[in-house]
Amino acid sequence: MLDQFIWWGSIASEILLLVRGWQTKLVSRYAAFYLYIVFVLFQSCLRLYVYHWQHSLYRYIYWSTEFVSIFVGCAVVFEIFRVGLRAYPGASHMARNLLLLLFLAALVAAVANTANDPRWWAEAKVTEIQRAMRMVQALSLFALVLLFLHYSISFGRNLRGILFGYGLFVAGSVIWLTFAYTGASRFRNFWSYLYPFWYDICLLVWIGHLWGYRPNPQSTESAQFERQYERIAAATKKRLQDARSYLDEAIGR
Amino acid sequence: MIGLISALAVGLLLLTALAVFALRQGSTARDIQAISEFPADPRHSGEFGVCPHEFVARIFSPEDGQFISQTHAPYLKRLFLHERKRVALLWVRQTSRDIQQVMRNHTDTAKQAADIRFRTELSLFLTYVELRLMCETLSLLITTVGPPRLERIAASVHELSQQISCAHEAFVKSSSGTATDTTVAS
Repeated sequence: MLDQFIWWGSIASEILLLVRGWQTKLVSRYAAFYLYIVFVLFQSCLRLYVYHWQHSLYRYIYWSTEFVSIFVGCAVVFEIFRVGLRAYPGASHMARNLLLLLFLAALVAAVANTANDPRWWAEAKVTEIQRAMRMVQALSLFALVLLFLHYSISFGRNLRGILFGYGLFVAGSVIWLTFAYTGASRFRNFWSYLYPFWYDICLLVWIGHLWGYRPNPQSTESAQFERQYERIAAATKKRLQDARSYLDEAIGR
Repeated sequence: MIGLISALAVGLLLLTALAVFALRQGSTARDIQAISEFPADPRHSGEFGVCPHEFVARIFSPEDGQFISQTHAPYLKRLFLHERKRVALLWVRQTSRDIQQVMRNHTDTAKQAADIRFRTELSLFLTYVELRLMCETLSLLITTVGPPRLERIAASVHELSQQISCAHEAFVKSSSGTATDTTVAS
């Protein structure tokens, strides 16, 4: 009964989110995000149908749609990066390099793991592969949030909602897949209720933040700082060196 | 098992970062307003040394403590230690705030610069982290050990910072060398 309530609750929330997105024209501003919601709605309806009328196929459908949703979710991460840093070319450049470094590190780790245990890909459970993919997604979001914090990037209400909702969902997925992987049936039972309920909370975050259009704060000074970076960086380096000698003076003796 | 712990850690780290981001989003506007209220303060242009040099050099010096000890008055000694600790902590906090302000001024302009350089930014960020760590370590040591007894520990912190500094300079040299090579090649 509870699982049915959660299931129908998420379908209703997704429909409401799409209707509001259509009415406020947010669909055209955040196309990747709404594409993701359309996909999740389709996925929920398909799963509901298969669960009731083709139960033997449910497991297969569940995991295959989960994989597709990870790839569609990557587009949401890219949209957060693209829209959030549109007015900040410097921070955008840093984010590109940081994400590239992160994906390279993930690739190296995956190759190293496979080299250590060549049978891993053949023997790994679906949950293990999915957890690894969600971890890369979580790390990308984590790196982006750190960058937003470091450069004090301020977001509008809509984009902030997309980031919070999707970030909460990915963090919840990583934790859920970790417990699913441990195989303890008591935990699995508990998490099988908590995970969809967690997703419903994320949907509520999205509905709350995307109820109406709120523009992102725009920077008006971008052109002023073009081609001046070397000078600014040199000045900062000089000031930090001053700070170090100031500290050294006190404790160095 | 390590894989499970790291997965859990990644999930929790992301949740923590999101919580901090949520809190900071609300305070950003207030910070900008607060800074613009004090444009004439030299600290806001990132200049250090507002505090006189003789004063800074004396904060961790054992000389005053030795002089007070000669009076053989325990109350006076306690009062001196208490006040010296407060002054030292205030100085470290102020210096830490100045360093944050310098970095904030930098990031405010760098985020809009089209010709930003990843290596330079990384190097500046590492220097910033190093200085903040120095300040935090000093605060901790002042609270636990006290400024007059800090001299020896401070010397080792200084030595450590020198080692980090050497490593940092080597990194900067190697990166600027690469950058020059790239410029020449292009």
